[in-house]
Amino acid sequence: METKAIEISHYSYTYPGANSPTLTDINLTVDKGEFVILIGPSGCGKSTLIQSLNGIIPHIKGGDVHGEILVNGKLVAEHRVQEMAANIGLVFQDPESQLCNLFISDEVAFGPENILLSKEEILERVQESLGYVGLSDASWKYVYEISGGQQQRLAISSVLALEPEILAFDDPTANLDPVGTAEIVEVLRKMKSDQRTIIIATPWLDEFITMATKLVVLDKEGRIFACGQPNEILTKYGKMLLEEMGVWIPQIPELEIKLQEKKIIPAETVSLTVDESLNKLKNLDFHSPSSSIQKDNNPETIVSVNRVSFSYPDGTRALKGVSFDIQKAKLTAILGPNGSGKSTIAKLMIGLLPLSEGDIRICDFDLKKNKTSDITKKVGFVFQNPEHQFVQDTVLDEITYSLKVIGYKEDEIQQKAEEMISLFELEEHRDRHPYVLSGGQKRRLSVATMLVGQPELLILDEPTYAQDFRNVSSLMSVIKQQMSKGVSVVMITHNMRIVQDYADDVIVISHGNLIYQGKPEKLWLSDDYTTDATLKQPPLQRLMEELRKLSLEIPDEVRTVNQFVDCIGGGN
Amino acid sequence: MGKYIQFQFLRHDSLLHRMDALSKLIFVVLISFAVYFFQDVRQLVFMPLILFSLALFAGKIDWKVILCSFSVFLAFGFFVGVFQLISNASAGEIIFSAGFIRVSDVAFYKAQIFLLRLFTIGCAALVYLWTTNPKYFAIGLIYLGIPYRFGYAILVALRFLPLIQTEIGKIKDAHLVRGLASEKGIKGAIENWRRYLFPVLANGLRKSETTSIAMDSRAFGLYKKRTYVEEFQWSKTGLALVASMLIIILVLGWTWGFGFIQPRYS
Repeated sequence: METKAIEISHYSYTYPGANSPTLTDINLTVDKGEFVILIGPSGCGKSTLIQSLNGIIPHIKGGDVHGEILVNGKLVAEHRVQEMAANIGLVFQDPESQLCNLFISDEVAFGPENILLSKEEILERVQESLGYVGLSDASWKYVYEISGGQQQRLAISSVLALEPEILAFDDPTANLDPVGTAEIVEVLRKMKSDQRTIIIATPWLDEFITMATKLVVLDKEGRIFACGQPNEILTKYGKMLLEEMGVWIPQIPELEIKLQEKKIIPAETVSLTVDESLNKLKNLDFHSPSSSIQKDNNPETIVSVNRVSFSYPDGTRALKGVSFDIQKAKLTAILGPNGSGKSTIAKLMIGLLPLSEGDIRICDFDLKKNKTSDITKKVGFVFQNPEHQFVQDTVLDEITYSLKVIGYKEDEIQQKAEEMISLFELEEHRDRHPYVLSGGQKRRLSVATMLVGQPELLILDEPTYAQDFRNVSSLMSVIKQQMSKGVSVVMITHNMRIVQDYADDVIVISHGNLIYQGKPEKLWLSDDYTTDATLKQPPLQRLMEELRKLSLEIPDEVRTVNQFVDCIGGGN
Repeated sequence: MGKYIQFQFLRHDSLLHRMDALSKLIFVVLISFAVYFFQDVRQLVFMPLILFSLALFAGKIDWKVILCSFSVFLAFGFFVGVFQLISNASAGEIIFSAGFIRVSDVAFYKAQIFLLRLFTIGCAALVYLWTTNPKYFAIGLIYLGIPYRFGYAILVALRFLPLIQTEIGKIKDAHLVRGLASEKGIKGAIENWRRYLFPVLANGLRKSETTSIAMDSRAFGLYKKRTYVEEFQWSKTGLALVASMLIIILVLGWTWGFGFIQPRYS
């Protein structure tokens, strides 16, 4: 019996018009029933490799190919994409774009209809596939009236209806909130237990690492840098992945690598789960936090939101009497599931929505009495999709445009623009069109256009979306630098790692109500805050909770891996 | 008012919704042709009333949605009417004058006819859009022998319309934050489109590429034919609607007369 699901030998691929290959000499074998995770820095070719598996590359996208890929014993180069559909199913990053029908049941029937199955067989497959992902009750709904997580489950179901033996996923949780992500993780867990072959490209290992049988690391040149069992790869290369390649690694291995480095625990294979790690860390001694954990006793309020309610024209009550304050020069994270009211409050703060009930004051500026054009002189807003904000044809013009709008003089404009370009490391790209920049560069430019006017408050909507560790670290370091000059930052995010590492304060909104405001480390002390807002506790928080149950005295202020390591006095 | 303006399929269980897509299409085509042969304002006033009643009683569409959405085409018709008033100002006898504004009897007649024609065709298209699941429209086209790729192209386009609307809203907001408010007037509208077109096109192309490869990845286009869970069937109620419309047109024509495409005035 054939045991190989995928065999890739000496595979290289160059996009049409590109000077260098995106993938170079890839050799990889995936056995049937394996769960393989592909990781690597932004632009390393993860998506390209996924799209090569069913022939999208090169049959649709063109380009030069060397070497070969066998999927389910079929040579991909010799079969059309459509012919590969019953062998390998692909699920893409953006759930909305991959759905082509109006109704859920039609979407699932679409594949079986294409392979000329009988009406009875199609209906049977629709029922079975929708049941598998838990969408049987929603079959009559429009595809656009369900949540992002449900849309992604629908995309999986529509692929499953063709009964492929292998499923490939290209960053399937990138566009999802924690609820949607948990839904997809659940479906993948089920598939794994059903012995399906799964290959998934993702920058977020935390959710999937315990399911993986193989971890494949691609480097910047599109070569396989490492391939093997996840804990072995992370033990051997974890530090390099994080610090040199700029790739997110799970929190538990990251912690153990740092503890091993300081010789606090012995150098051995790192754990992947909290339970595994507990045994190694249960005898540690903790001391009081070092000076790196700062306390601010005299905070100055920059934003005051008082009893704000808001309803959309269709009657949706997005906010119900929300009140909170934001401190000057602090980073405040706003958390909550999609549709909770996070974006509504942010849009009210910049004047994009009319404030009818309640008051918002920003830097002694009453929002009710001012227009957006006045508010933007004091408040910057970075949208989730940076391209939406670009209005000029070059990087330099984008930045100088912001200065012109504010009313800077010509000689000042040039100097300030140059400073900003250098601060955000965009020197090489100054004359390029903003649309041709990489994802990380676009994000940096969008933040630069807002910071150049020296706002007192900067609002960021999902700034870490689709960014690797290196991009996020570089962006956050510039933001921290600006905060030291007095800029206050509000960040809407689903990324709990970023919240734990960078936020000074946290606001949690759920169903239009404010359910928590306080320090990030206290957020997990009560289930009331997190269950209702469906927030998922980061592994480090879970580990600390378990260690505290074992009577270890971990200081309350600890919330990042580095703080945890700093607070350890002695070891086993 | 905005929330009542609907240019998409509205799901209900109604007589019109249950009718086959092709009969309803023939009904719309019949109306569109008929209004070009009607030259009496009374005939043309009759048609939107029929469409309003059909949408309300046979389509179970909310009366506010009908009125607000119909009014969009009334506004378009009004502009066309004003254009007729201006371009025919010198023809016929002056029946109204105030300052430099002069309205001749010919211009007034033509303005009414053109307004009502446009209004009627728009209303008929809306009734079709509200009550026809695009899937059945695509299946109907395929029944007529049109390649299924073409039918699906229309289906995907309709699926993406709401997404494009959302995208434009986000771009407007993002530009406003950059200090570029939406401009007013005809010149402003052109400038707005110039600004929004590039990001909408860039994102639209990216999304449509994903859609296209996601469809191919699910075997779309593998064979010349496809099977369908639901196949096209003429409905008796649909054919009855077409027959009724034909009778109404003939009766109206017999009562007040038919003409040619250009309105007659005597």
